[in-house]
Formats: sequence, structure tokens, C-alpha cells
Amino acid sequence: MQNSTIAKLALSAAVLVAGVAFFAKSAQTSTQHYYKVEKLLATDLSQWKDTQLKVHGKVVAGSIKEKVVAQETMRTFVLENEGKKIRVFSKGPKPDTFKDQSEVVATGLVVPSAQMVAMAESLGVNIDSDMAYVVDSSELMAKCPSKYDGANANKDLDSGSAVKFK
Amino acid sequence: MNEAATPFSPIALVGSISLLAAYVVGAWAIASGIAGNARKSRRLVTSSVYGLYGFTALIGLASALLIYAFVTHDFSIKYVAHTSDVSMSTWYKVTAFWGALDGSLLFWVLVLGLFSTVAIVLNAKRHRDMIGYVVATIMVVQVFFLSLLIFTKNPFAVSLTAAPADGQGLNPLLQNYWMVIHPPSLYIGFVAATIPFAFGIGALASGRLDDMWIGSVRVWMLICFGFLSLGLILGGRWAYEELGWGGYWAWDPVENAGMMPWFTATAFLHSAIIQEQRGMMKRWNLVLVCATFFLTIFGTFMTRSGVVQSVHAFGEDNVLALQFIVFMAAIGIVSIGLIVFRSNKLATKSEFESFYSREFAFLLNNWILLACAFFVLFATMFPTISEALDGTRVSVGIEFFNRWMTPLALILVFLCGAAPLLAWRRTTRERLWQQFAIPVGAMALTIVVLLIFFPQTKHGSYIFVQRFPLPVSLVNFSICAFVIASISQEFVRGMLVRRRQTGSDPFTSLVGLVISKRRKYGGYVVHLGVAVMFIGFGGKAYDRMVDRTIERPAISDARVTFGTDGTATNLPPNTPSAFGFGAYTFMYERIIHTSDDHKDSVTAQVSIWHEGENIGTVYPAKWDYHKGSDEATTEVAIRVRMNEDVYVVLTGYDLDSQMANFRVFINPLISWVWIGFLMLAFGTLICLIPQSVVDRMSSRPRATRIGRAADIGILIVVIGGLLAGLATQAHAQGAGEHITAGGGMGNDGVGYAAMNRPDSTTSERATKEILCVCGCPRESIFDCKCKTASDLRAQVMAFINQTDADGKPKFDLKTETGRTQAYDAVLSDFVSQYGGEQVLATPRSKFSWLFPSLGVLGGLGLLFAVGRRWVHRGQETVAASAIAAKAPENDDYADKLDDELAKTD
Repeated sequence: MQNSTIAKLALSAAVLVAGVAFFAKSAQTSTQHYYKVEKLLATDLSQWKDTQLKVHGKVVAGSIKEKVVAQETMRTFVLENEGKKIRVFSKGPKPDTFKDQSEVVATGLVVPSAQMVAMAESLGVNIDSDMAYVVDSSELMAKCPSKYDGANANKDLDSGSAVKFK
Repeated sequence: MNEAATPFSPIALVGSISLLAAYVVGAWAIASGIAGNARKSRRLVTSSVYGLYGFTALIGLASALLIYAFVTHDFSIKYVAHTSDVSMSTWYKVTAFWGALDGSLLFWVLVLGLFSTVAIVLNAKRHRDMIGYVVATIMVVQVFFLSLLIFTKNPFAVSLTAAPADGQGLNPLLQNYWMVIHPPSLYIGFVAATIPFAFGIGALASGRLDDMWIGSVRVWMLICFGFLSLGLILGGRWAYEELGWGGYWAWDPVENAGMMPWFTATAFLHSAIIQEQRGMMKRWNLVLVCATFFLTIFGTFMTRSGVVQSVHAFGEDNVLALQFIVFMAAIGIVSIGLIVFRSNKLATKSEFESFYSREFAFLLNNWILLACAFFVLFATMFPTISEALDGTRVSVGIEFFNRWMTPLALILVFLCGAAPLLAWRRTTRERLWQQFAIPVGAMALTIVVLLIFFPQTKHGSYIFVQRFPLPVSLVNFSICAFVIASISQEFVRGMLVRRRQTGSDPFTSLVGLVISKRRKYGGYVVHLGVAVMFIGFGGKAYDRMVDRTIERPAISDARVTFGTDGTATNLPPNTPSAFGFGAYTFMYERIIHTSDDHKDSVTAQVSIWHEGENIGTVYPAKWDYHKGSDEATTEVAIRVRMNEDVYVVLTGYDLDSQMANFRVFINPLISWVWIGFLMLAFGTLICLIPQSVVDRMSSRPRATRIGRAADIGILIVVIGGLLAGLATQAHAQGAGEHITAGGGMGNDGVGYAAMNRPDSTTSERATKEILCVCGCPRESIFDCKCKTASDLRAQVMAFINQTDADGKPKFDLKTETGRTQAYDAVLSDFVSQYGGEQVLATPRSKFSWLFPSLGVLGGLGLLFAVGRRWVHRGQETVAASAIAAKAPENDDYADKLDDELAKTD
């Protein structure tokens, strides 16, 4: 094999390896993790600071509190799964199928409860003392029961693997 | 036990038999094609070709039967019952053919059958020594999809119990006009990639690896590129109008499935030029052809197997996934095996001579396009890969895609402008300066102008890693300016050369240049379209969004006054019904709840104010179909402005309190995305004009007197075409607003549509004849569902039923004469009131049909005449000066033009 060919192959391999490594490194900081409530609470919540998460659970009946302040709708509710609970705060629109007992995936940040005290007071709720962290959600997705094929991809939300991504 | 009998459907029976017969014919075509070419038996090869034609005919029959079943409501067929219902319009019933998995697979086989028939008819004689292999390859693909249809996804499967009285209906999200053409466009793009692959495999199998096969497949790859582009942009437009999240591209796995083969097809279209010009990259071109086909199958696998989750994936099916994996493995093994086997015949004739050459720019373009394809592939599969590795499903968001794809795309756009400036083999330093001076100057000027007048373009965005913000949009706009200047310079210089040779006027020279070198200049128009689209993409950096909850509509605010059309005429200060965002104020005027047989509709009426002026009223809505998902569909309202779209979404409401939630997006420059695409499509069409069409136009040379008038005529036709394309988006906007005004209800619904219905045959006739003036696309006030139509109907009835001073009816509606008088009088009243007959559905002149007909005929005549004129003017002048004056694509002439143009390179 000619030296120039070897050099080309070596250069191509080096570019490829560097590209894949850079891609992997870059992806590390951009990933979104998906957790059921009980799985999330089993982790050290402080490690998720500034990391976007998808948290999945059922809305606890009667926990939804909503209020319009300065033309902005604020709400809070409690997500529950297998007896474990976490409070979620969100602003803006909600899915049409969002209601008590509905399955919801909240996308957002896990933040210390102290950060959300003002909003909680404004909504007239007290954050339970055992909830050191809450979810500050930027987007809510409710499970959408559907007869259509496309929705079947989400039918096994209970299995913990499938999430409807926007 | 009382069991219902299994229903019998003759359509299903004949359809299933057609599929089975096609399977047998397909298997025969494979065997005879391979054996025919291997044994050099013309009879067997011919038999395989006729097998392919027979296969297509049988699939055509099966498809026609399925469509017939949809139209005639044969709900004993499960697929028909699952994806349609009696209330759907015929158009959507036809659309339902590809509305779910089973039908979409049949549609795939049908389109491939039609394409392959055309390809084989055109190439059977030309490539006789490999056509058997080509047919066999196509039929292997066909038989694979057909086997899926027959064994697991038979669209003709019937219910085991009695047929339902009505079907379940098509997914409401798919009941959108863009969805009528978006999926077929993508399918056609996917399917078109099979033809180049079949010719590539045929060339490898037969050992005929000269440049001839490249010429045959280039057109098909161009069709693949064109339809994939169309499918992707229509998908974006559908998402923009239907999904209500304010954007058009979210790197959804299904979108990505169409994007990946687009990258490799684009790479092939460029590298094929290098093979044709320099005899290089033969192996690479075969790899690209195989990779493009592989990615189309991979994309289908992704969307139909459930391996990735998507907003519009077809669902999870492990059996189907396994079948696709086996098929993809076979494609990979055969393709790589044949390329390795024929490696010695794929040696390159020549080497790259310089980095400053067009071929190196094309090579760089290929590398980046491949990098884009692989990046999108890995990022799309990231959740699946991560789950396979450690059991945790980890996804990457839109931002991650954007951070990587933006710099890669910007390099590609830069190359769109730079590559045409470079010469083949080597570009001298002087020529580099000569070629790049103006485009680089335009780039620098753009940067300076933007920094001075639009300082917000300094806005920093992240690329690759989230550390250092860079003024990406400023770079983007300057590169777009570079490309536009570069391509314009190429057109101007080419036109000057042509003008010097032919003595034509500039416009004729320009059009003649494009027609005679369609592939080159059509490609440049595509590049121009890409640059324009990137101006639109650049606007994405400045889009803004706000959520607002308004507790009371303006209708309950005493300070707000309403005009006769039901919209507000003033905007009181500090009204709680309004909110400001950007340069606009939005006032929530009222909420309208309507219902009909199909759906419940809740529509908000919102006026938009800019600098104190009402610039329009929009009607965002939510439609809740009685059949289907519990989740209502979002009907967005878009106010298109020159510089930005104002995009209003009704995100929630409470009918009791009349509270409404709105999400408003301001999307700057977004119209340029659609305009750029129209240019891209136009350029692709130029590339696809066959030589025979140009030859036909030049078959009877003669001077025409129509002259410049014809030039102007054709210009009008071209611009009209572009405007018609643009009008589609305006229409979309208009239609959306129009429908939502009354909640999209039928005439028997409630709300405005049901108000003031005609009380006599005369008033019904008149309301059907008078057009609504609400801005809808020429609907009569009988059909239109808005408040304006309702008011106008009342006006018509009041006019017809008016009485004189004694209380007697002015028109005697009991007699024919009286009814005619009343009808004519009310129409005349409306014509005088609205200043012309444009308010009528059919102008009352008996000869009114004549003018549009004459216009169309005249336009067609002009089109033909001027086309011939363009072609001949150049030829005649060249002939007079003893320069070879044959067909425009004549080699000598083309070479000479190239030489002349090379001096400008």
C-alpha cells in the first residue's frame, strides 16, 4: 500500500474518531433523562441541578391548584407513582387531557423547594416538609388515549420506556 | 349463541387474489431477470420485463379496489373501517388509502411499480445487458413489501364478525390539505431512490461499470431529491399550521427519516458530476446510491417498527421490525459484497489536482452531507442506543440537533456559492480574486449593514458545545448574501457571454442560457433557493413566544364598541381583555362554541392591533372530533406579514367563565423559508426538463413577431406560477381563519352558520349566488360560516321580503315573474352596494366565460411561442455567424459556451 494511501486512511480514521468523541462529549451535556416518580426519588436529587428531566406519574386527585396572576396561569399539582410523590409547578398552557388521575410527563428542572415558596404561597399551597425538591416544569404532556396507530407508541407508558416526544 | 356471520366482500376477495397473483409474478420476474442476464438469454430478460409490467398492473388493480372500497364504504374490510367513516369527504377517503400502515405499504408498492415501469420502458433497450438484473433488484424490493402486505398487513383483511355500520374515521390530524400531498411526496421520494439502486446493482452485477449507468440514474435521483424536498417542506408546513407549537421543524424521528436519504441523494447529485467530468469517484457514487436506498428502507423501518417514538410514527411492531432488519442486512451484504467484488473495475482515472478546484469543493460538500446524515442517524437513534447499552432511555433535544447541524449547514450553504466560482482541476490566484471579489464584498457589506441597522443580529448562539456564544445568525445572513451575489454573478456573466454569441437582448439571452444548460443553471437556481431558505431559518434566532390568560372577553367590556361585522372598532387603554406582545396588542373579543355531526368547535375571536390600528382579526380554535382522540386538535391562526408571522394559538378555555388561554409566537422571516423552497422546486424542475422537449420546441424554426410581448407573457406566466405557490400559504391562512370564524360547522350546525338561513327558494338562490366579503376564498353567503355571511343572509331576506307603504310585499314570490324580479333586484342591489360583479359567484354577462378561456389559451400560446423564440433566436444568430447552430444541447456548441464561460470562471 502506498504511503499516501496510508496517510489518507490514517487521517480519515483520526477525523472519524475525533468527530465521534466530540459528538459523545457534546451529547453528554444535552441529554434528557426520563424517570418515573419513584425512580427519580430513589436517586440523589441534588445531582440533577440544571439538568432537564422528564418525570412521569399520575396526578394526585385534588392536588391541582391553579390561579391567574397578571394574565399568566400558574399551577401546581402532585405527581405520584407507586406511593412516591413529588410536587410540580408550571406556568402557561396545559394539555386538554390534564386532570385528576391523568398520566402526565412533566419536562423541567428539579429545584430545591425553597426556590418555589413564593409561587406556592401565591397559589395557596404548602410544600410538604418531606419534599426537599420539586419540579419546575416548562412543559406538560398528558397521556392521550387514542385509537390511532400513532398513539400506540405511547400505550406502554406503564412499562416505563415509551414517552411521546414532541 | 347467536354468532354474526363473517361478512363477504367481493372487493376484498379480488384484492387479495390480485396481491397473491402479483407475488407469483414478482417471484418469476426475479428469477427470469437474474437467469436471463447471467445466461445472456434475451427471452428470459424480456419475460422478466413483462413480469414487471404485469406486477404493476396487478398492484394497480388492488389499489383501485381499495380506493373503491373506501369510496363505497365497504366497512367489512377492516382497514377501511379503521381509517374512514361515512361522513368524511371523498378527498379524505382517497387520502385514507395511505392513512395507516397497511395502505401505506400498498401505496409504496404501487408507486414503485409505476416508477419502475417508466424507468424500464425508457432504459430496457439502452441497458439490455444489465436490465434483467435491474428488474430483479426492483422486484426483490417489491416482493419484500408485498410479502409484508400478504402475510402480516393485508389491507383487504375482512372482519370476522358483521361489518360495522360506520368506520372509525381518519386521524383528525391527518385531515388537513397538506397531509393530502405530504405523505405521497415523501413516499415518491423514497421510492424513487430504488431505481438508482437497481441500476447500480445491475451495473455491479453485470460488470458494466462505465459512466453510462450514471446518466440513467441521475434523473431518478433528481426526482428522489425533488420529492423528498417537497415532502419535507410540506411536512414542515403541516406541522406549522396543524400542531400549534409555532415551528416547522423539530427533528422528529419521522422527519429525520426523510432527511437522511435527502443528504445522501444530494451528495450523489454532486459527486455524479465529478464522475462525468473527471472520471473520478466511481466507487463513492455506488456507495452513495446504495446508502440512499438503504436509508430510505431504514427510515421506513424507524417509522413503522416502533423502534423510535414519534408524534407520527406508525406504532410498535416487533415482527415487522425483524423483517425489516433482515431485509436491511441483505441490502448491506449484497451492496458491499458487489462493490468489493468489482473493486478493480471501479478504479479512478484521475486524481485531485488542487484544493482550489470545483471537484474538491464537491468532495467537501459530500463529506459534510455524509456527516449530516450520520449525525442525524445517531442522534435519532440515541434513545434506542442508550437504552440498549444501559437500559436507560436518554433522548437529545432539538437544541442538540441545532447546535451540530447549524455549523455543518452553514458550510454547505457557503459551498453553494463558492463551488460555482471555482474552475475544474485548478483555479489560479488571479481567477480566485476575480471570481470571489464581488461575492465576498457583498458578504462584508451585509455584515456592516446588519451591524449598523440591525444590531440585534449580534445575538449569540451556541454551536457544537454550550460554551462560547457566536453571532451565528449574522454569519448566516452574510453567507446568504455571498451565495446570492455569487449565483447572480454567474447568471450575469453567462448571460453576457450568450448575448455576445447570439446578439439577443439580455432577458432572452438569460432564458436561452438556462434552457440550453438546464442542469447547470437549474442547479444554481436550487442553490439560490437554499440561500433564501436560510434567510428564513436565520429568523428562527429571533422568534418569541408568550402565554397569556385572559379572564374576560372584550364583548363584556362596555368601553369596547363593535362594528357591523362583529369585530371591535376601538381598543380602550388598559382593557383587561387585551395584552401586548412585541409591537402588537391582542384583544380577545369573544368566544364562539359550535357543534355539528363531526366535532365540537370552540373558537376565539382575537383582533390584532399595531401602532393603534386594527390589522386584522384572527380565529384560533380547538376542534374536538366526536370520533377519535380525547385531545382536541389545535387550529392555529396565522397573520402573515412581510417581515414576520403573528401566530396565535388558543391553548385553553373555560366556556362558563369565558376565560381563554393564548400562546402567541412572533416568527420573523419565516415566509422566506416557503419562498426559498419554491425557488428550489423551480430549479429542480428546470434540471428535469428533458432534451426532447427542448428539441420539440425547436423542430420548426421560424422567426416570431410576438417578440417582446411573448417574453413579457412568459415572464407573467413564471411569476404567476411563483405567486400561485405563494398564494397557497395565504390561502391556508385565509381558509383557516374563515373556517374557524363559524367553527367550521356545516349549514345544519349551530352558531353563525345556522343563523338567518334562507326562508324561501328565492332567498336560497340569491344567497348561493352572492359571495361572502369576509375574506374567505370565494364562498357564497349560503355556505360561509362566518358572522358576515349570517348578516348578509339577513340582508338578502329583508330585501326580498320588503313591503311597500301599504304593507304589501314588494315582490310576489308566489309567481315565477315575482321570484325572478326579486332575485334580479337583490343581486343588483348587492352589485351596486359593493361596487361591481365581483360580489357574484358568476358574473351575469353571457360571454363572461369567454374571457378567462381566451386568457388561458392565449397564455399557453404565448408560452409555446416564446419558448421557441428563445431557442431559435440564439440558433439563428449563431448560424449566421457560421458557428455551429444545432440543437441547444449540441456538444460543440455546449463546449464552446463552456470555454467562454470558463474564461469567466
